[in-house]
Amino acid sequence: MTQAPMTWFASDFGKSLDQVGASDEYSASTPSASDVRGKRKPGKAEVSREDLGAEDECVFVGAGIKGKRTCTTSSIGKRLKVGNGKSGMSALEEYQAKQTAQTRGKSRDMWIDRYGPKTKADLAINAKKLNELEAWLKGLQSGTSRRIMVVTGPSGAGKSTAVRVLSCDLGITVTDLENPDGGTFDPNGDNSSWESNTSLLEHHLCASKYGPACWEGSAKPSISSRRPSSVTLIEEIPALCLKDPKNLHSLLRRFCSPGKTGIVFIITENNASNSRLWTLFPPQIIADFNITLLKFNPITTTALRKHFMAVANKELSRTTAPTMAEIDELIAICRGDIRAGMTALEFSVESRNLPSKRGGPTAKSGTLGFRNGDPDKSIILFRAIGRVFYVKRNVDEPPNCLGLPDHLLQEARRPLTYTPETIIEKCCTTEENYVAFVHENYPNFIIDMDFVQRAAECFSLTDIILSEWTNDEARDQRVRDLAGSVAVRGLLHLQRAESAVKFHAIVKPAATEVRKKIDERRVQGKALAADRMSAFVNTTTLFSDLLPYWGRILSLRGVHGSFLQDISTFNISRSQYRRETLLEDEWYESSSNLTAPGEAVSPVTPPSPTVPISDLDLQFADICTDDWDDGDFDQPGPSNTSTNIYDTSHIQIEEMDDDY
Amino acid sequence: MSLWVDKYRPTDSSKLDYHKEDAAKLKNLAQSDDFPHMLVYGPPGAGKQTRITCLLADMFGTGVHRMRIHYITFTTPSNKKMEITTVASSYHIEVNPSDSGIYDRLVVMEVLKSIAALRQPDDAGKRPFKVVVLTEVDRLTRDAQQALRRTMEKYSASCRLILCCNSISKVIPAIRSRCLNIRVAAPTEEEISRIVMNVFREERITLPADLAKKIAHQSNRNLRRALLMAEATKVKQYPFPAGATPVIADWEQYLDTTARMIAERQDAPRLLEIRSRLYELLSHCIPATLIMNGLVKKLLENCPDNTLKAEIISQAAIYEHRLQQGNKAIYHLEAFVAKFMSLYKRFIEENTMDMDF
Repeated sequence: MTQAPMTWFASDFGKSLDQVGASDEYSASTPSASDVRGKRKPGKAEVSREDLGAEDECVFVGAGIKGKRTCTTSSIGKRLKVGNGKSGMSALEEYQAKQTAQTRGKSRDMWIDRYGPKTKADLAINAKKLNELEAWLKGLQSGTSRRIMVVTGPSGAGKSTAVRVLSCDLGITVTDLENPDGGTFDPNGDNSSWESNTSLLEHHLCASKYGPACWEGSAKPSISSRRPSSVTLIEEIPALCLKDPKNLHSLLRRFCSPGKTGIVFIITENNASNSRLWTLFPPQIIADFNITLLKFNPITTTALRKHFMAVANKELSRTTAPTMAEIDELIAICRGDIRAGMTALEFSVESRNLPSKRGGPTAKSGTLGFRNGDPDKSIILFRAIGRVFYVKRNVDEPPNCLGLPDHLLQEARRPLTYTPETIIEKCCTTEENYVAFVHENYPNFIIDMDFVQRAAECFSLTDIILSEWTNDEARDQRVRDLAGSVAVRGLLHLQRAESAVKFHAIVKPAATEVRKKIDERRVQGKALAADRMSAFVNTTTLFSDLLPYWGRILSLRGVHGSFLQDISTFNISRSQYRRETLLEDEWYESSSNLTAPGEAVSPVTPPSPTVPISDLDLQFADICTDDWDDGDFDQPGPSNTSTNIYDTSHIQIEEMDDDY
Repeated sequence: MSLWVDKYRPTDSSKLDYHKEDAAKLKNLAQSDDFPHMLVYGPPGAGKQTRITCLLADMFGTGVHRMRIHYITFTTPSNKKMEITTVASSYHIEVNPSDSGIYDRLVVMEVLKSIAALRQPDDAGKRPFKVVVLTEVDRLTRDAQQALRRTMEKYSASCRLILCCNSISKVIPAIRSRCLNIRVAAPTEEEISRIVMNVFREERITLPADLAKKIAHQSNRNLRRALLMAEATKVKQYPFPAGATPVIADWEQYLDTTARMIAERQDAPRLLEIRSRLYELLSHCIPATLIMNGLVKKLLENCPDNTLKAEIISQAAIYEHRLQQGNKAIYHLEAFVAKFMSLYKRFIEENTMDMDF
């Protein structure tokens, strides 16, 4: 029973690996993926150590449960090299090896397996959520609880782990129900019954032998035998049910009538949308089936720090242990995903210990170089905007690399280190939206009035180009690309000095709010005009003459009255549009102590949501103006030697405090 | 309660207060059997609509004043239901097709078609046609204007068009040449103050002559605004104290302050403030062109130099044009403000440097 949590992690991780597609690698060292699956017990991360002797490296093979699950741990990359690192096996490792001896000889565990939570106390999840989950499981045991639970949360928040650990603590059997190949859940038409699906499922579950985990006891899965107090964990909703939630609902309706078995659905959600939960389990269904909902949040910074530190201290000696700043950087990168964070930690530690000729990602100058969780992922909006304002130029080139004549010398710039068009391309938003964001923020970053004017001109042109709208989609896309180019290149050109720009919070554009308000008021105004039988249907007159004076003359009651009041008066003192700050990640908890003071390596600090455009910023503006007038523009900043194109972590957004 | 603007609106050409010569000509036109399509243009508040109504009254009698609101619905090619509001009597119908945005072409065609299809109930055989009044023709898209050109030829047997707009520079020449163009100039300040005095006399309210003058001046030769202003002033304080000032619409005061702020300081943070004020104006549905016009006028007042003035006007023309072409007004308004700031700042800097020598 004690080795169970580790094995869960193994299966979990196996899936990830499986998806990442280590196929090249393990086909080199092991016969083939299917062979592995056939020969070895699935559900266990296996290690082949064929080439360990020579190269001191091992290749992990996830010969785990089949199925695809979204994984954020792709930093493992295609070729996962993990050096053996520390001399010999630590006591813990030996212990782990002993624990797993019965499954498969000796093994080299991933940290995520080795340090996976084993008891409730180990879990990094909010205690309140855990208590809720525990209460539900207990209720299931006593037969008083509702039978279906849906756990939602972002990836790596410990959803499955929590269910497993807790039910293991309580002695509840957990059956893992994976999405079978070929969609066994598929009802194959409407007339097929639940029984046939059950049998298919049963077949699938019996055929696949699980590792000797604590739920191994129920070799026959619980669905058919309906053993008391067992939980079926469904991490992947079958594709057919996703397409048409009615399928799922009818299955549930048939399944959940009697018994003490529970079903836990795990739904991994990205921060933004709740859509999958609500399409699969609309409120009506939740009420009908008495479904318990439980939402997990990303693991908090504090908990992450605690766990990472614990693992790092256990694994590494004092000298090589990562510093606080490095841990913080890791936390910033993994964004509450403990699985990704753990893997990244192990990976970076191991790669540091490798000699650099390995070609693996070696960290620079002794620091841990954490790989961003997903290098292929598009840049988030925050960074994309940052790239326009914090320009990076190739400092090796001469300032006047194009050989411009004297009168154009002030327009000479060093070449950029990246193609401006990639910014918009990689940022998953429309050109319009991106331009709106940049437009909202540019006066903070460009100080000189002439340059501000030129930037404004860029936006004006961009809008003209964006207004060129036809029905030809390909042409429209080209036109939009062009518009984006005009805006981005125009702005980049206006950033003269590379390092003079100070930190400013990025605010969200007010344009959408204004647009909404205009539409709203226009409808109301029209209604009022029609109500008053005004012969004028001229909008301009209505809003510029009639309504403002009606507000003064007429004293109407009700809806129209308040509207008239609203439209005829202006808030003279200050604007009513709150300038909302764009956070680096909307859900990211803004901890002020994220960066320890005095640390050389500072991560990209998410701006605190309460940073308004304050007087402090204005002071900076004045200071900057002085800097700019010195005339020594195009002098490279000290921290500006990187030419790494895609590494967004090199965009340094300086903290305000650092400057004083 | 009827507003003074509506209450004292002339109902036929004989009651018109100014441009009497033109009114007489129009009356003659109305007496004749037929009349051409017309394009009435002039600044807002000059009395275009009033004149059109008077002309219609001359032609059809007082029946044109019995108007009611009609809602016409039609479906767009993309199967979207559109509803437009029209005001109609049994002789004519008033439509503002530019309200429908990109569907204005459809509105023009559909409305004209449906009206032309209706045979006129021969009301004592007065006129064999119905009159369609289209307002804000200058805000129609080019497409819609082309459609209008074809349609007005096609249905000229059964309906006459009276087009109404502020500026004919935004109406395509093909339409202009098909219509009798009538310009209604704005009344002079004297005329306005006379009319305002008349209205007050009718209401049996004493109005100091200087206040009438002030109202006439503030109204910017817009009679409608003058009357609204007069009434608002009366509502605010009556009897008028000595030196009373007319009530000005909030947005105009707001725009004035904005212009003053622009002239005060020229830098990026100020531009941000200006932007939020522009947003505030736009969100009160004040049309971008009006904002632009107001800003330019106020900024020119503060402008010390003629070359600078010329430069600003030419820039204003450029950005006003972009306002028409583009989608998002804020970009162009802001670009103009930034341009002004930059020009103005450079001018001031150069001048102070000259002073130093």
